[in-house]
Amino acid sequence: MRHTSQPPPPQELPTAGGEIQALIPASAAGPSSSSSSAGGGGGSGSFTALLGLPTSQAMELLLPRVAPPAPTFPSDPDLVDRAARFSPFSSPSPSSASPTPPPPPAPLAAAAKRKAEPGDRASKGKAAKKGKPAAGDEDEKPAYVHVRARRGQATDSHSLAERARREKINARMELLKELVPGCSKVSGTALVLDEIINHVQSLQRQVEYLSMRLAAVNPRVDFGGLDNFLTTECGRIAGLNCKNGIDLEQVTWPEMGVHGARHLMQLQQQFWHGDLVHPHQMASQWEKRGDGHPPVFSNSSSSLFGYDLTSSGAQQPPTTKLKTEL
Amino acid sequence: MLMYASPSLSMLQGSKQFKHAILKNLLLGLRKGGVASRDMSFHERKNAIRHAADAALATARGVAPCWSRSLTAELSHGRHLRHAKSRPSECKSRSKMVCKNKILRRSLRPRPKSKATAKAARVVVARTMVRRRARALREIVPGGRGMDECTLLGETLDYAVSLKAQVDAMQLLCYC
Repeated sequence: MRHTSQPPPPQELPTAGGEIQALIPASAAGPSSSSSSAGGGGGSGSFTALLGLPTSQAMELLLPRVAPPAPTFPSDPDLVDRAARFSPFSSPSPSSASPTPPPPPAPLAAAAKRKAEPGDRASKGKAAKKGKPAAGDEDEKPAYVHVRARRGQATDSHSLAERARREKINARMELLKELVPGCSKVSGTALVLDEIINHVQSLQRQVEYLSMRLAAVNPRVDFGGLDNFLTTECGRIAGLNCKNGIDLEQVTWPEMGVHGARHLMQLQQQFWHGDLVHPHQMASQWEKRGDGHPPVFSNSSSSLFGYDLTSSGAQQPPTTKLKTEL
Repeated sequence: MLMYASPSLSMLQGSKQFKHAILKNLLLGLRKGGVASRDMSFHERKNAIRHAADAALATARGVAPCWSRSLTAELSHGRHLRHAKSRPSECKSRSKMVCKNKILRRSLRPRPKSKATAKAARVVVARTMVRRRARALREIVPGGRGMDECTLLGETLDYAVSLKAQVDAMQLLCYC
């Protein structure tokens, strides 16, 4: 894939580094403790965050309770898939929701041996005090939030919720670090966010640049003709005739190389039915082709595409006019 | 917490599908948008193409992510008002952030009194820096205004992947 020339990098980058240098490395203070709490997770078991539980006696934690509504998890399957794709650890993470395989369940006798967590430690957050181990093993209940607590950490509901939230955020930061090139060696939330912002901005600039290129190419390019070309190749195969009145004409397409043509032909063979597609709906739309009953997405998006809907007749003269120039 | 299910290949296999969907939507949108007509200035044509590309991306992605819905709303609203969406706004926000960082640096440099206050200052500064970047990210990702940090990061991930696919699709069209 060719790379488009990038505009000069933003001037904020050196100042971001200077910002860090002028201060005591601030990035070490915040995320490191939270990452240490999230990343370790190993020895101690997990216990459920029962929001609203006043004290956190170990036995009370273990008793099954009516599940409070779990905090909102991303139920987006795509994000989950992307998480699975981009995450280096495809095995279950240390802190996870219920569907993951449970840790080896400790017998309740062992739990009984654990001393009561002093609930008086009202300190929320990351203060790791010396004390009784706060971890407890628990048989998994689907509705609970499973948070892994390290030894000696507070287990009141607020800090648990905070820890769950922090772990969510850290997991997503990990995914983003995997996505953005050159980000895995950067440490610290602020710098990683800098890289992410730069990456997204550069992608947006690339879109601008490519649209400018297409605009420059456009006077010679005939997108109506392109459709004609593709329709010609695939119309026989697909047997379509509902192209808003496009005639099947032979169009030579000097711009396109062989590979591009084949690409677009494959595209046409799979998807062409004169309506906008959504990847998850392609199968259903293929069947519904003759119905004239577009799904919701197409409705909303077809209104979006109604910039100036020229009639089919009006499209012909520019088509023929531009074809002569090719 | 994100559920690391067994890595399904739907996204991997679907990425090609996604790119093709973007390309197809783009072609459709360009055709319908009357881009091929002669009576457009260069700028108008470029804006039309960019709008078509963004609309193609948002449609191909669907309504699942928040940014996709916001982008669709932005495009239809902006088109309704005939207002060209301007990307250079991000430069102003980043430069403002830089200026504020300078002021922050200057205010915090003299005399950290003791270890405790220095540590607290470090924490505060780190949090401020992260907050600023989160704000900048909110302005970049469409629909980022009404999101908390956690969903913002998820949306950024999704948006970055989709933008990459959009760029690839447009390069296919441009350089084929």
